Amino acid sequence: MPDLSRLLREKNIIFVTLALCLVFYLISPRFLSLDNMSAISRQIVPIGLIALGQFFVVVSGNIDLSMGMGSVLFAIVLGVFFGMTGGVALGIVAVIACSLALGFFNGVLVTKLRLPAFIVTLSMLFCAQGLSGLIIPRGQQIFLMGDFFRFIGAEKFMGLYWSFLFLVALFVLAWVVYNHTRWGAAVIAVGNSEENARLAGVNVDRVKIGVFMFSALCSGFAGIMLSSRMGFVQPGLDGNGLLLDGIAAIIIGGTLILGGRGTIGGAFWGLLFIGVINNALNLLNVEDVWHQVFKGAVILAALGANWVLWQSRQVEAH
Amino acid sequence: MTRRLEMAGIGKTFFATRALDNVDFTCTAGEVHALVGLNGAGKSTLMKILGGVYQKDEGEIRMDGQAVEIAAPADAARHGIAMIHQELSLINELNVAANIFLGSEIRHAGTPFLNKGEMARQVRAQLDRFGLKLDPNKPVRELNSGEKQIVEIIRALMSDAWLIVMDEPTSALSEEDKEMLFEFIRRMKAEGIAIIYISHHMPEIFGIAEQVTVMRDGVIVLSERIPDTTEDKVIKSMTGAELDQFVKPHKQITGKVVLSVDELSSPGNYEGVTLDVHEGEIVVLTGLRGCGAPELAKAIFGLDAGYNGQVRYLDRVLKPGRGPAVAVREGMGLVTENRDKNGILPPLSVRDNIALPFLEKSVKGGLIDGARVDGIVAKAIRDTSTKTSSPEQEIRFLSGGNKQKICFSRWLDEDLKLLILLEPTRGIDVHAKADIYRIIEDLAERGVAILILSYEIDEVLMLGDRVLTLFEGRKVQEYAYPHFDKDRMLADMAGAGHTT
Repeated sequence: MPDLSRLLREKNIIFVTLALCLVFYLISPRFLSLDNMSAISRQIVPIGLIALGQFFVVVSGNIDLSMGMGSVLFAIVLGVFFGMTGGVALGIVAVIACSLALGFFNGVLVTKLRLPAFIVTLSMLFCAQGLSGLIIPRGQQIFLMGDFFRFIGAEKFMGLYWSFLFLVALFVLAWVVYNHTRWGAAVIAVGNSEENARLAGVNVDRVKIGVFMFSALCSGFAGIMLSSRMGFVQPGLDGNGLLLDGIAAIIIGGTLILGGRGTIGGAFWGLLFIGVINNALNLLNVEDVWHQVFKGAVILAALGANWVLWQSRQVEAH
Repeated sequence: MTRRLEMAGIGKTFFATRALDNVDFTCTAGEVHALVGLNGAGKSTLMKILGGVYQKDEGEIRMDGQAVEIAAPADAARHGIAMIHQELSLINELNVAANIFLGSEIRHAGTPFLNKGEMARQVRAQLDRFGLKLDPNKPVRELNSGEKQIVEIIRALMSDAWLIVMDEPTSALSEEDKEMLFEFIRRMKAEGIAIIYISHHMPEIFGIAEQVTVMRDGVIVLSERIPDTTEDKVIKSMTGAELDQFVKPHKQITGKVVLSVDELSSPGNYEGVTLDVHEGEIVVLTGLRGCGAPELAKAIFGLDAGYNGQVRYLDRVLKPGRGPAVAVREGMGLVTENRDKNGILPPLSVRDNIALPFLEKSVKGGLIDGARVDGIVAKAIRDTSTKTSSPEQEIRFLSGGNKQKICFSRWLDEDLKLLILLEPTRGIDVHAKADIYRIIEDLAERGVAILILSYEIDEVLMLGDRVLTLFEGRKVQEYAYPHFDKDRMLADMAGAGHTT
């Protein structure tokens, strides 16, 4: 069956994820319970938002390291507005405005001053971290309570969390934009060759500023989702862990880290892969210190296999 | 109405150099006009003026009798002129149709969504018009170089180009793709497209063109209809009637064989090449771009394992693909054609760049002997007369000529036995060239065997003790000094007598 073998090679992340599920199920049957599946679907929402924003940035040939700590900062902005007004509407408007502003700033520095995205966004990572601690001193937190946070954090529609449905809707929207609009083609073109894209009439700077604004907006959404699920905000949240999980998800999903290539579907499967590992290692009571080591080992094994397969395909092509 | 481009009395001066002088050039719809000349003859300057990259100093460009101004590439595009360069400007990860419509996509009316079906349909219609078989939905990365070129041309045609300038279009193509491209060109002619075809390949020119124009030193020396001229005449006018009286100090090659290559073949690159290089001898490989010589040289240096045949070096058979580290230890050196990519390490200093291959030999007690390295570096800078403010200067700030001298100085070590040079003076000014020729002669004097690849005929004649001409990966002829025949060599390189 040539089709199956082709599917196995090209979409192998699907099979790797399913195989992992089977392994975890054999170790602990509770893993595949409806409750646990549902828990996974909620846990992956913030990572998924980071992954989605990062996807466009990486395909365009850049990187946004400020997304993780950015989402912590935006969560705190939401918390502060909630504390002051007791409502969420103003807070959400503030988060959207702040995140778009941060993304615009990142994009302008990268395009107009021609600074490397790595440096610009790394600086923003530290700024966001510092500002978070400035707004709420370490050790303190703001509790978020009320209908909105319960709705986002805990309510379901037809057995699925609203937050997960929101994530899926955003992925579908992103898929349409990526595959069926000029902007999607422009992002791929810029990631392949800025020079050639410019020659073809693509406004390269505008595309790049656009991807940074989108990624920052996604980290704003991630901040809202994260804080709603937990019910509080504090500056000590692990924003960088979130960032790395998001990057891992898209890379595992076949996005080329050098830019120019990637699929939204692949990114989604990569996200499920990360979600399954995170969840299973918790469920199996893997000691916290070993948790990261196992995660690293599993990712290395999966990506290593992918890389070897990719190379063998390259050889075949020649 | 037959469309017509006329360039009349075009002149261009760069600083003190007269690049073009009173050049008349015309091109008519439905015809292929071949433009030939050696490097520096003025072809690309003329085409850059037509493309709006350079501005002419004198003369007039007329389109269908009307004078037009081409001040920028956008003006050229507006007048229907398209340049197809050797470095193609496609996006590998997008498919054929998306590349063709990039920047001017068709959308479903009133929505932001792409009308992929319509774009594919329009591309297919164009492809059908020219009898080309290509799937508009295929990603460009899966196309070969010939197909990519076709996509680029189709893109130009779909933005209403009627005059296509092709710069050595077949240099990277397989035989099959060449045939496809020629068929495409014939169809374009039939559809009333005009083509300016820059090439050195005589069989191609005589097979496809209606008119041939030869440039030399910035002027047009020959412009004739193809049936009225001959390959011989074209080649003679490229090189000039006055045959250069070339003098080189006669050298008796008595040393033993350092490098011996026997029937080396790599499919698609080179085929059955045999050559020897003796101690103190300079052997030059020459041909057109795409003749396979760089690949051959790299295989000898151990960078490529995929060949058949044998490479003997100092009476030992070398293992294919043994890598540069082993080659260097055995006393082989390589200076690549692409200094900035493969030659230098741009962020490092002049000192570090020179010292790199010597580090292993400069270790004392596990540490690098800094004083010894300094000595080597100072000597290298002196020997090559490299102009640098200090050895600590970052190499990327040096001129092309000085960078090249440093690439050389790395190998001026007493252990060197064989030096391979790929296009040693590419992109280098006249003075640096003279320095580099002197370095090469000195090395040969010292007994180093030298294998050079050069595309510049004058350089080939000046440096070589022996010259091998290559055409499409095969050795055509071997010439030993003083029996050099410039015209014969050029004819060999251009594949005269071959049929395409």
